[in-house]
Amino acid sequence: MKILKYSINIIVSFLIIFAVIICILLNILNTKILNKDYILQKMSETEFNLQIAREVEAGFEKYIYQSGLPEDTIQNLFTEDMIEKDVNTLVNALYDGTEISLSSEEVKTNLDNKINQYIQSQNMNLNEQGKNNIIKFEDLIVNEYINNINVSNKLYENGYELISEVKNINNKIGNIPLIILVVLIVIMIIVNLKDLLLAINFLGISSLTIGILFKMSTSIIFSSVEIDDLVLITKSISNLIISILKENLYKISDYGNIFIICGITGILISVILRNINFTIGKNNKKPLRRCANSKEY
Amino acid sequence: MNKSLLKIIKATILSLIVAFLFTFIICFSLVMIGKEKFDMAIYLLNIVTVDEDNVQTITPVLEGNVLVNYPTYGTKYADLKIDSIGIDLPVYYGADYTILKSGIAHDETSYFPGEGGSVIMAGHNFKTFLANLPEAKIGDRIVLDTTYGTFNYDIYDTRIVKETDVASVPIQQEKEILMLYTCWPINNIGHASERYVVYANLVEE
Repeated sequence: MKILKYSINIIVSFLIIFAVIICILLNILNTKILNKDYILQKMSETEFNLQIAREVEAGFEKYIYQSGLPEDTIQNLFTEDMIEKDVNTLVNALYDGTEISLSSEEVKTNLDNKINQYIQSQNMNLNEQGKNNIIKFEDLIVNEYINNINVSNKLYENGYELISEVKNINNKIGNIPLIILVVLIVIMIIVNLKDLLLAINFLGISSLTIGILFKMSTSIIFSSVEIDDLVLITKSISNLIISILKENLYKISDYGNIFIICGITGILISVILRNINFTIGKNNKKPLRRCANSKEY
Repeated sequence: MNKSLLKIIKATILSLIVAFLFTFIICFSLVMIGKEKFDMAIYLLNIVTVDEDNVQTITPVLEGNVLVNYPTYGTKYADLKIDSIGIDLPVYYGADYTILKSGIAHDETSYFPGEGGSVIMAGHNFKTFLANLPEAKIGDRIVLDTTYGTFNYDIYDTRIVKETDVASVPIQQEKEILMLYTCWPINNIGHASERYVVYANLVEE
């Protein structure tokens, strides 16, 4: 009977480990990666828009030197508000599947005005070829703006599909892992109804195991990959991904600390109380036994 | 009291052993199931990491017509001189707009001077860069003074080609040819859709 009880405890505490890990990972997925507001907040923290603006300007530089136009032609073609609006449009496209519409026309109008001003100031008369060259230049600048902000339409289409699929699976799973976890804890309590300290002991063991696993996995990732040096698509996207990755890995590591502390505390409390109870009980019984055996009693 | 303490210690150690056993079993199972995938993920992540603070500069050495140790991308490894038109510019390995802002860009898909193939270089048509290039005449000398040797080329042809006409600057390894180009026309406004190309043969001296 004792062996059966211990076997059940071991199996249940083993299952609790998996249930807790799944619950925590799902929580991170829901509150962080699948949460549009969290992504926008991280974008703000990593100065995503400012970095995008720098990348767009650097992209413009590719064409300005061969254009024969002064360098200030490509300056102030867009505003911070335009970038913010366009970035929000892309985040909405990624999370809600809305259509992408960027401020490219405004960029083109601003560029066109600047070029016309320059041509007038220089009293230039352009022939057909010259006019075509300017149109091509404007198209290249506008494409550069779109490509630097958008990277690729496919990225957002595929990203939206992936996020929708994950959200669907997530909705299907719902609170099942949490319910399973509660059921497992209830089973453990029922099995150890007469000795709840043993249940605490096994819960402590589970907690300690989870903590060690979290600490180990984050340590392995931090030691195997130079996260700060990751380069994915563009600098702005890299910075955003690095920031999200690091925050969540640190969070998992912090969870690891909490679980280790809870686990050790649970184990110590249960072990100490079980043994103190045992000792007190024995001490209480000793004089009674003696009395029972004595002829005086 | 000592007995109780001993029991507490024993029970604690036993619990810790069970916890570590659980950890070991889970880790072992994960390794058995997905070690290859995990290693692949780590490998892929390490491919896309760039340690910008730890870029090493390597000095190239020419052995025969094989260049040992290519220069690091974006570094200066030569000077290009055309005395007849007063051009003396630094040459950088690689061809992107940041390099083009600094000097002559050596197209990384082409051969290095001395390797016996097409050496393709480009520069902006600014006054301080290659604006004078169209003034160079057939027979004028181009000198490439690299960190591993000096190479002289004599111009034998000049052409104006479309920017999309990549066949005009072919990559080949039969003969060492320097192809130096800039945007055309020089005083263009807007997108320059043509290139002025200078072709020069290596002069063996």
